[in-house]
Amino acid sequence: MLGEFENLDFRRGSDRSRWRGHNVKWPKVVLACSTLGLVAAACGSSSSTGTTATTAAAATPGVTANSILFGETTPKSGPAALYGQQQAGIQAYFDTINAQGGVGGRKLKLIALDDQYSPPVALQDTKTLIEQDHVFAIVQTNGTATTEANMPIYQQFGVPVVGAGTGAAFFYDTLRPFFFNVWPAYTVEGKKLGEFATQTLKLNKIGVIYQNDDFGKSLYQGFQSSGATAAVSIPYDPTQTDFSSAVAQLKSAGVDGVVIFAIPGPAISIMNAMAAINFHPKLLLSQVSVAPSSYSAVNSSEINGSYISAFIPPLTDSTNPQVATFLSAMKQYQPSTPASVFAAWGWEAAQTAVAGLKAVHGPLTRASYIAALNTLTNLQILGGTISYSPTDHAGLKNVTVLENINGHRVRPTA
Amino acid sequence: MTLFFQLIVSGLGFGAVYALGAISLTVIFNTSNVVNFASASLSSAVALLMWLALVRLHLSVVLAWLFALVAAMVIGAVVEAAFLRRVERSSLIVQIVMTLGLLVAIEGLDGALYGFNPKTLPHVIHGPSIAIGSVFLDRNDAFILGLTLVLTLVLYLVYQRTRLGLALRAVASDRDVASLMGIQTQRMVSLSWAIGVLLAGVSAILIAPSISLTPTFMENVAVFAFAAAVLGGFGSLPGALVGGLLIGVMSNLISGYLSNNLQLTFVFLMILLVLYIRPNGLFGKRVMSRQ
Repeated sequence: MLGEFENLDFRRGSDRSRWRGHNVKWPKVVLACSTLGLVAAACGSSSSTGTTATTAAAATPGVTANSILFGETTPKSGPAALYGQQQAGIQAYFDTINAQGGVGGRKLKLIALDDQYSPPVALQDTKTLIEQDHVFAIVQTNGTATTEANMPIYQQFGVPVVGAGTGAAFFYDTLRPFFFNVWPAYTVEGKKLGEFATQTLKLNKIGVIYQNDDFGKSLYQGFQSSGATAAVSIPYDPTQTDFSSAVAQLKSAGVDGVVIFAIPGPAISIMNAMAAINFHPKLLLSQVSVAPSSYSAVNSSEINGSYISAFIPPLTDSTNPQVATFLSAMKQYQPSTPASVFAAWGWEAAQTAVAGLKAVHGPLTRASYIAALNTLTNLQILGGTISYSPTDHAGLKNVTVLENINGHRVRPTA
Repeated sequence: MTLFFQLIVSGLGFGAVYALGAISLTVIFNTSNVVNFASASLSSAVALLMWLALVRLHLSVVLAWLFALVAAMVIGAVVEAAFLRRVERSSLIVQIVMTLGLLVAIEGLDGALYGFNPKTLPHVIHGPSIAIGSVFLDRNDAFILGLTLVLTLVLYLVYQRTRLGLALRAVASDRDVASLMGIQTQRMVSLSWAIGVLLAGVSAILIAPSISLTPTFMENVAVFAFAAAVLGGFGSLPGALVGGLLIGVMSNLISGYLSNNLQLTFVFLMILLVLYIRPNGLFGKRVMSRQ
């Protein structure tokens, strides 16, 4: 009946994650589950061995003769819930590949759990994915703090991770054999915005407002490495809603440009607070900040004509074959989710993950998969070109700056 | 100096929203003795219904307001009748857990119904901000402030000057005695929940255009509203108003001159200090009880 109500999501994973996310601890539930578990263990020994032990791939978790299971955790509720759209992007690419017969005859499957952008929940979800659901690999987890929280358990089980929805320095400074970045590092992105602010826009006095964690700090660090300096820099907490004071400070300092390193909710509030005090500096945003689908929530006097860093090309450009394929697959397989930048994040990580699978020689194991990923050279994905080697897992290397005009990201006019 | 005055003026807008939230908590607490931790999700739910009426059902602004306000009162009364009445004789902790459970459940339900894409509501008052010298006052903020003052005054007069107010206060004072006096206590409690959710809902509808509308968007606001109620002396209407405005302005000044990042921390430190000096808050009365 109502368009928005189509977001009802009772697919596997989402309903379970809500229970766990909210820490519902009911003794009866626990008792019932443990009883069922005992029964299942008692009855299941014969049937489960019958189906998997005979296949050659039985030793590799998540891999059967006809399927490969991937997992991801992503915020589907909470302050960063928009990022959850990346799941639709992954699913759309998997569906595309499955329609072509899968990889080596195996269909690709995905379990996605809601981590609420909360590190403890993400860790719990990841434990479930690895120990209970026995996923083969992780594709496009999301968030800096959440992915950092998961790192020890990835390491412990040696689970390959392709794409992390973060560009924080933590993931680039140290090379981890099982961990493959897809995004460009935030330092690269911050540097690009700094250069654009000083060299292209020729701003004299710049204010920076950044999220006070590795995500915001890495971007700010990149900004500073461009040689640009911030006349005022204001850190904020991700749950903050009232930014009237922060923007009053920026206005009072007389800056002619403001760089916002924020997730969508706060970015929207910051821009609306600017409009409220009649403050219209040149605005530069990180690509994680806002997507066209949320532009309607921002005062148009602020968002229109603002600049945003990007590696996902303008999704209006259907002459780009990568974009055209993405748009048509989203329309075909995930019609209820907008073909957004967030969905594009999932899509390009899935492209990388699948390219790795196709490059595997011999039996598919986690080790052979990691070895295959290391051989990917000049792989064309939606966001650009990726090459990995045993000593380079840095992902995309190029960032551009686009302009927000009338609800779309376009090539800058100036 | 411009910054100082801008911080104060901007702080009053959010302060009024905190005040409305605090008054909502106070109205409910005064008759039912329940601290409504579900306030954040109940108010978001009302704002989302307003969005539903405007954007999906294409009602006119007046009809949408009417729809949202009636819905808010119905939600308040239903939540009280369906959930809180079951635990009204239970211990405080059971009641708290009940409202916390409602907080999570309603957010989850709204998430499933509306999704988490940020939505927006139109400003009640349109037009550019009002310039007072070099300081700007958002028209919407000015409206919120005015409405909050009027609503507080009306509520205060109803409580102090009408038979209904007397009945509500009697229920707050001692429900059993009030019942013996012929007051329909259950009805009074229902009414206070209806009014409480109405006020919280209004605050959410008014602030939504400045931030973005999601099932969880009022969580942070509700924390400040709770602090405002405590600061004013939980149970006092003028206290809730002053507490809300004070917190709005103080948090802005703290953020402007000390640290934006430690806004919430300093606000709560300030409350600790106030409670240390005046354990019943700024406007609270000392309550003696004999066991």
